[in-house]
Amino acid sequence: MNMVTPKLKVTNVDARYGQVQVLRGISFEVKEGEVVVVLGANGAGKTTSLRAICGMVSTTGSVQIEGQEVRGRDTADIVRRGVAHVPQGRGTFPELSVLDNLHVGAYVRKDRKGIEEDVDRWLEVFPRLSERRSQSAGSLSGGEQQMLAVARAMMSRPKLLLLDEPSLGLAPLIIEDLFRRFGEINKETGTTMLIVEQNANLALDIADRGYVLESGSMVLSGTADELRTNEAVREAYLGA
Amino acid sequence: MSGESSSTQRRSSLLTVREGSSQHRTFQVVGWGIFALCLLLVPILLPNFRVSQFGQAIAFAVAILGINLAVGYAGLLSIGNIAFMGTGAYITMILVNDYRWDYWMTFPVALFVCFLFGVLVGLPALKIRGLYLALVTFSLAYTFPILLKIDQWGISRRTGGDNGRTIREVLRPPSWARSLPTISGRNPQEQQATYQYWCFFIVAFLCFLLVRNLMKSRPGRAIIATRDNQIGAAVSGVNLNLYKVVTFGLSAAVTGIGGSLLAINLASVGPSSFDARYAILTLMGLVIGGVATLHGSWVGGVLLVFLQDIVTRIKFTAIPFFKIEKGSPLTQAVFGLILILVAFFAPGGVMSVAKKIKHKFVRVVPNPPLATDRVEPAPVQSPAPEVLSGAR
Amino acid sequence: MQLFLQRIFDGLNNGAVYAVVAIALVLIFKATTLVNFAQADMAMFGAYLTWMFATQQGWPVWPSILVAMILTGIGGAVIERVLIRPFDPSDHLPIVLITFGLAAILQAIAGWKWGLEFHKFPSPFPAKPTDYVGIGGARLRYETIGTLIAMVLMVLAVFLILNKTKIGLAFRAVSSTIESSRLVGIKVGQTLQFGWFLAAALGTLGGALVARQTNLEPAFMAKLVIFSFAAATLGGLDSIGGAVIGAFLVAMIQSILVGYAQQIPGLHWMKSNYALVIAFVVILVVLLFKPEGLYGTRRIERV
Repeated sequence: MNMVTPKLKVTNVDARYGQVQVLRGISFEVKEGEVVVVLGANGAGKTTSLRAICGMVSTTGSVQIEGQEVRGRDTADIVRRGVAHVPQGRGTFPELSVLDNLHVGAYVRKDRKGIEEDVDRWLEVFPRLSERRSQSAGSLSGGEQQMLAVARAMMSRPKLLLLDEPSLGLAPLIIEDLFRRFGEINKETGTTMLIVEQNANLALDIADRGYVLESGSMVLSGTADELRTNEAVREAYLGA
Repeated sequence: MSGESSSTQRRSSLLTVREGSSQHRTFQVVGWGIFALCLLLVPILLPNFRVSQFGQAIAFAVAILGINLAVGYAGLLSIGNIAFMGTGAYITMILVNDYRWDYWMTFPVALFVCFLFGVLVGLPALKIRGLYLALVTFSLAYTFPILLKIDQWGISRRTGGDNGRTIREVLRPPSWARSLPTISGRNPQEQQATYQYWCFFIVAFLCFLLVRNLMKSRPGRAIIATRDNQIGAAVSGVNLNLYKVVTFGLSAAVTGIGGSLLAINLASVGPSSFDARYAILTLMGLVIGGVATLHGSWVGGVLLVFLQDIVTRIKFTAIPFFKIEKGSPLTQAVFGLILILVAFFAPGGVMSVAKKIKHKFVRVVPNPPLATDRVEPAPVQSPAPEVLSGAR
Repeated sequence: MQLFLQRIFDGLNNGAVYAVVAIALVLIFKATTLVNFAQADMAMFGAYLTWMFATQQGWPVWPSILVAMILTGIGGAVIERVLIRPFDPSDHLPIVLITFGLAAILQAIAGWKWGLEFHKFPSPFPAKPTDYVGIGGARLRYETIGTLIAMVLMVLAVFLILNKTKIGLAFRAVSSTIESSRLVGIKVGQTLQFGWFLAAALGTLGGALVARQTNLEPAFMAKLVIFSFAAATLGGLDSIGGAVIGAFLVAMIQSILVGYAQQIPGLHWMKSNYALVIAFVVILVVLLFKPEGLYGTRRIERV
């Protein structure tokens, strides 16, 4: 793998829902092993940018994963190339058990043994899930579902993990725990992560770099430290 | 003269006409004139049995109008309406046969009873939607013929059970009618058929007028609103349940009238005219004609009756092992094929195709023309993001 | 007592058949929330294929059934791809049209190819008049036992496929949430085709099991499918186990009600085709009062 080619490179992407233009020629990139955060208010287009990467909304421009153009391909195809997307609302399968959710997360893989090992490993990482392994995912609490969603995404051993507002609807303590684990996952597995968040504080803590999205345009970019100390960012997103 | 072509017109028609202008009126008058002419020519030019066929087509047109009210305008997939048609037909038959009523007197009764029946069926429809409603109402169509054959309580005696009953007396033109144009001076069968034809036309015309005015009125538009956007309609204060139930009732009533007409036309009534097969055929007529359009209903009726006629006559012997001849079961496949083709290519039916063709020639522009030169929003280029030092 | 037992046995027999077709309906509903009005005639076509292999080609009955199941299964997959997938599943009118149209075409082709007259279907189980077990004076036919066993095996097979195979997992995922399924890389279209394959094959099995007991003619399944609709609705349109239970409940109610009604003065007009009316009432009552049936999970749309 070429060290110079970014894991994800988005160039000049437009996206619209009907007549409404949601993304206006945004460009950004994520390098191998990085944790990158995209901040923005509601309606800024954060979710849309993730959906654009996954081919869930029609776009113009270029989306490259490890140098390969994927814009215009369909979602299942892009997922097979190593992208895992945890959407808003978790995207777990409520009627399926925790175990089934994990197994289905590994759908694109063919190595039975490896899959079982990963199932065990993630159940170890999230003991609460292990306790409830045969329960239906819909019966889990919000925080547990989020953990399941992340575990499910990691089951495919993705090259790129996309997380859409993982803190939504969760209690502060849970969110802290969650983000700590994101950081750990990144350190231990080296998985490249792109996290979209309104809640900037915790996200920036574990991030390497970040972008700020406003009304469909990228208005700021910088390292996590820079963003954290930037006046405008602090006012708008850090509640300082 | 012709309206100016605004930037919104993608394809320009040959001719653009302002609504309400004298040109527009001319078109309308000519259109109706042609229609009236065709109407007149039918009893004059065509042989008796054709006229009678047209009578049957009118009966079905009214029935389809009723179904259209529920399925097309209100979006309620009630595909068992054939049961209402049968109800109207049987009511007329029983009243004329057993109680010696005059034909036309049975109509109000059929209307009323079918309305009630429709309201009854409409109550479950409040809770059930879409395919499930289709499932329930289709089961109703299935069961209706059976209910007619129940031996208890004298039911099958009245309904004639499996074979139905003929109506004791055919509709005869009264003496004053015999001197009317197109009827006078012809032999009794022709007089009868023509009289029936005109009577049917008047009844149908009234029904269509009624539905048209209903759909333009406030309650009517509310009904259409409930079809397109249930939540929106509910929020804007429309009493959904009331409208749905009443729509069902009206739909059943109109369909019932169609049934009564059919009873007159066939001069007999039997369960096989109102079974599951006819439920699908009438639905097909509706869809081919054009859902939620007035004209689609009568087009559907005409097509239904004449397609059946044509289809049974198809002879296709070109490919040796694929012969289609009169009476061959393969002719039924034609109906199935039509249903599928319509779903794929013309879900709006004949009327939508006709509209498209018409638009190539004439376009009616509302008056005054809307000031809408739609401006495409210029794609906004985002400025290069402000890069904080050192980060890239 | 003897009469009662006989009623029970009849109920078991019918219930097994309704169950097989009901499961086919449920499979499609689970995956797509669509009701397949062509299910009956697809099953009919499969029964005819079986008959053709068994009588004209001289194959033994069970291989004929299996081959027919596979062929109709493939047909089902093709139907999904060609006729169903182009349409938005939330717009119900086109689906109604397409499935009804397909049903008409299938009936027509069957009538054209194999004639409209009734045929005798070869028996999958020993079915001579003497092939029964006498219990309490009533006759438990081998046919009934065989049908029950076939149904149980089939339910088991479906259960294993859905829960122990990868494609079964994909099917359950798609039945749960389509969007999320795409996000894990499942090819939704192919999974749906698989569902239709299974449903069509099951329909054929159901047709083959019952064809011996009624007559083989183009409309024979269409007359019976309403019972499976009632069974599936009662069980909850997206529950396979529910469909089985619903099937036996419907069959028992019919068997006992119609059987006994003929004994009760005042109700003796209930001929056997009032079984249809019972089915209709079941559908109506369930959808009115408890639309998710006994075991269903999906909420039937309300306003």
